[in-house]
Amino acid sequence: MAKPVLKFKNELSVRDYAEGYRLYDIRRGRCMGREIKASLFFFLAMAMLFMLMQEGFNIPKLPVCSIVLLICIYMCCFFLYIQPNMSKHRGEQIYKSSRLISMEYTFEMHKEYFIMKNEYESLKRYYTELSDCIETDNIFLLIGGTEKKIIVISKRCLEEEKKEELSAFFKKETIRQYRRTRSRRKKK
Amino acid sequence: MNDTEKGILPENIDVSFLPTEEDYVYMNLEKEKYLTPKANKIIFRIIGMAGILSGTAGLVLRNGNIIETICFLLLIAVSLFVISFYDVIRPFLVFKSSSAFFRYNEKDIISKNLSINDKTITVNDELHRISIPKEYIYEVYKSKRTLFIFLDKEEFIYIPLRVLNS
Repeated sequence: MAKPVLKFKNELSVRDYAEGYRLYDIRRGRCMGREIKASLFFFLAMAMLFMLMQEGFNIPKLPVCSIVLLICIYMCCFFLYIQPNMSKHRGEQIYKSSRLISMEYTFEMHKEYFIMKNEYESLKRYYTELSDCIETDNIFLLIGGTEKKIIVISKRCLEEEKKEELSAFFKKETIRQYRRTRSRRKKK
Repeated sequence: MNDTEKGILPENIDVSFLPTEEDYVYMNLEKEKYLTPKANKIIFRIIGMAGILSGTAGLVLRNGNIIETICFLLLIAVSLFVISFYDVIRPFLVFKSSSAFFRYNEKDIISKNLSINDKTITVNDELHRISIPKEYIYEVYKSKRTLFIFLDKEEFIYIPLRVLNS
């Protein structure tokens, strides 16, 4: 087997996995991005409010517009605040329910694929299988494949030099999928 | 894993299988059904019912304005969509998307080898190998066509029951 370009060990904390899962979960679906989904409901809510104000409070329109308005406000809050928190909580639950995620894995990064392994599991994934490669201040998140769809690499376990090497490596090898985003949580 | 779930898990087997499109689609349908919280279904039904009731009330109390009538009919249609979301719409979408996903990724779907003995469960394919003690299994769920072995709340190994029955 060819010599890996990069090799390192990684162990995930519950916060790292929850952050990765949150990013993955809010990007699922055809209409990606919670801001887009929330803004659609925001505009619908505005239209309802406009309809309510335009013709005064006529009896048949009032309950209908009010219900639609309330649903739209709820959906805005859902996509902007409730869903990210629910996803984070779900990520924490998944981490706690798994005996494998919290284990230490060895990553071997090759030119066309990477291998992650420990004593119980070994996974080889080609970069072409990835749909997203997201870097935040705390993690690298690799999304894709038919099983084990999310792989999180914590930056906490990596030395400064290794982090930069890995970031440059992903930028080069996953040029179409790579994206850098800001983290929501503060660095400790 | 509790004793009932251990009972579902077959003992001492060694099988190889290549998932077919039908296996993959039914696995996704059954997984969605199992993992969807019941509270979500209830909330959608309540919202749908509220929409239908207010739409009907609006139609009865309307002033005869055509735009209002269209709005109320639209509200009833949307409410019907919401009420049938988890029973009809979502299964249909899952069916279509997993079928399309399978066809698009058909070349990446490879045969798996599964073996279960007294202490461990091993799943092997060209790219992925898992060999874990049975205590590491989070949950086992047997549906109509598929046996799910959950490694955590979301990640799982699936075996079509046709493979075990043959």
